[in-house]
Amino acid sequence: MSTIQKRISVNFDNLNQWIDSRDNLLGYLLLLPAVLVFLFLSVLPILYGIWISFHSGAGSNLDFVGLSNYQNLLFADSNFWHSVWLGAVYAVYSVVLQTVAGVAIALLLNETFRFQNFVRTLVLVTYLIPTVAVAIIFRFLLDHQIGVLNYYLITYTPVDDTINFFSQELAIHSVTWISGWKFTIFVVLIILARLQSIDSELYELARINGANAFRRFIDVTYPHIRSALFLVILLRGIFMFNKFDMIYILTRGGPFDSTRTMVIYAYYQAFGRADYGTGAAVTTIMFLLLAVVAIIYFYYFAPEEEVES
Amino acid sequence: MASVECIDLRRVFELSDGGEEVAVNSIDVTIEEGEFATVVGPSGCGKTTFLRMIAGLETPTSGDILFDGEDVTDVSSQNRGISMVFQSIALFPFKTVEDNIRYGLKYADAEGEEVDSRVSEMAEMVGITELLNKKPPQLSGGQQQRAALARALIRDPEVFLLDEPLSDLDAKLKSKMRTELKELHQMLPKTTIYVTHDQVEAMTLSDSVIVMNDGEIMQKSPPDEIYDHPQNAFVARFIGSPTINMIKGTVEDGVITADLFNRPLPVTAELQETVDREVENNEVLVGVRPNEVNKVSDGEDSIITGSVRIYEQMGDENIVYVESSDEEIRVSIPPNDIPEPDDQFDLTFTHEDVHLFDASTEEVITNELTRP
Repeated sequence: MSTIQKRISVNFDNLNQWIDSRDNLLGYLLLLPAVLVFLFLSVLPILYGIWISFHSGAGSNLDFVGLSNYQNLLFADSNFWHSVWLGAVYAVYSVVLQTVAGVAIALLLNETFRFQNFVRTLVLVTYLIPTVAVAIIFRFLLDHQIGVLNYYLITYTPVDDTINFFSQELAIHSVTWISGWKFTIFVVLIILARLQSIDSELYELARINGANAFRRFIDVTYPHIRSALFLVILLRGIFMFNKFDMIYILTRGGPFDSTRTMVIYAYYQAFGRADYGTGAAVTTIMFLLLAVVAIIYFYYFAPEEEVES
Repeated sequence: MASVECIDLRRVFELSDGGEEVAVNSIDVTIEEGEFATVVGPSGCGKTTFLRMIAGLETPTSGDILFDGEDVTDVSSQNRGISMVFQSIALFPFKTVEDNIRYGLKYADAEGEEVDSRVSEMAEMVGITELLNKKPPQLSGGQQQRAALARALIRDPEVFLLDEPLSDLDAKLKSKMRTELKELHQMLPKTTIYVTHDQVEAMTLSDSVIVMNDGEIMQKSPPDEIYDHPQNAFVARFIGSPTINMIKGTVEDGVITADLFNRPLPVTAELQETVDREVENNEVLVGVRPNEVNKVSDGEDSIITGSVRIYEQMGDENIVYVESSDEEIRVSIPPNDIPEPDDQFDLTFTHEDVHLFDASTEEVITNELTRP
């Protein structure tokens, strides 16, 4: 009896091992497509980009030049530093604008009102229009000579001369606000989702305990949306720092270099001046900059812990 | 402490389709200083809306609310001197238990040390002193409930309001918290209004039970009275478990007759007169509680005879559903008496245990039938 039992158990052990190894194999197989996609679409291009940044020339005529691209950019190119500054201005300005407007709109939409589902969907529309379309529409609306906005300003407000919204002074503001018009809804969606999960009885409790509307925001709303805010600020910061299409279509980085952020500058180097190496060096520096900022951000705010709690 | 008086209180909600929903129809009630009043009723009867109006979270469509004779209808909730414990407990998940309790005094005129000592006093009273540094998600349901109680009590409210605070707890914890709430009220006899759908909570906790239905108060009485002297058939059906038997009958020529009865029940001439005068078509409901129906052996003078349909074992009693002429009677019998399906049951009850109601208005005629 005992021997039979033993043999059966031994056989089961083997069987289990066999199933285990088959399970593992299947697991790896299922992972493979994702790993391949990640490898070919993300890792290799990044490495290739970094590799190019050590070369000069364009197309297939690449000569290895070591770190000289970086040297030129960092120590001899004031245009590069200007683009770093503009990239940071555009990103921070956009994040502040979109976060403030996004939270405000989310708070409004969170109220109960008639047709609320319809309005909540309507707000999403800005996000659904392709960036190219948004940029072209706004170029027309804000045009110096034929823009509708200038028409209304002159007809209905004390303004008596047309405003060039894409002048050297105003272009960065116009670009940021137009980006804000499209991308604020991203913040609204995430914050609104979080707002809707707040127990309404917490607000009532705060009210009974004497908290006014502002204190109720501080006591109840803010702690609940804080984690989402941290995440939104990080994501919007990265997206806006890397934003290319909106700026390029609106201004092509101009007039002069007044909206030439880092990405635009990289594009200008690589395709305007056919200097692949310098363009790649600019994007590599961007990549490193974002990585450093993100690490510092995570270190100080630990947004992932907030998300878990 | 304060007494709470409601005068013709009404709350109508406008629906999004343009219609109206009457949550609270017309409430006139007084809750005395220090009284523990429980509002009980089926879901949707308006009991929570009623409580929220007293809290100032809901504005009455019409009517007045008086605290100690003073009109507070237009006073905001933070100035009414109330505290409330919510059904969802509503502790701040990001704050420690201590900060949650402290929040009760955050906007009150209270100094640092005074607050500290009040916090530890409250924590001790509800038995969560060792949990003060934890956050609510780390606490069990009962502990969270205690923290919410401490936060409400630290405000030393004039009126203490509780909205189904125990409904999310499991049965065992519920009965434990029930006892603790009762103890707490004996220690701090504050005017308390407690909303629940659980009649056991209502009966065990309160000085008076307020039964609500369809936005109106059906009866406000002490627990024993609401059980023994229901003012209408709704209250009789709602209070008491298993539910009271309601047998349709008519009172004519000095007797109650019913399809279910083997023989007519004699009534006094006085009652017959009352019924003749006040009851439409002389149709009545004969209410008898299952534990007041007795099984008799053959040959004795039974009132109802029927066959056993099903029975439920409750441990301390068996509830038997006896069927006769398409009606059903619930009978409570001793736990060792286990019936078989289709057993014949001869049943009787005494006159004194009969509650008689008007079949159309459902108002009580008498809560104690007398033998002629």
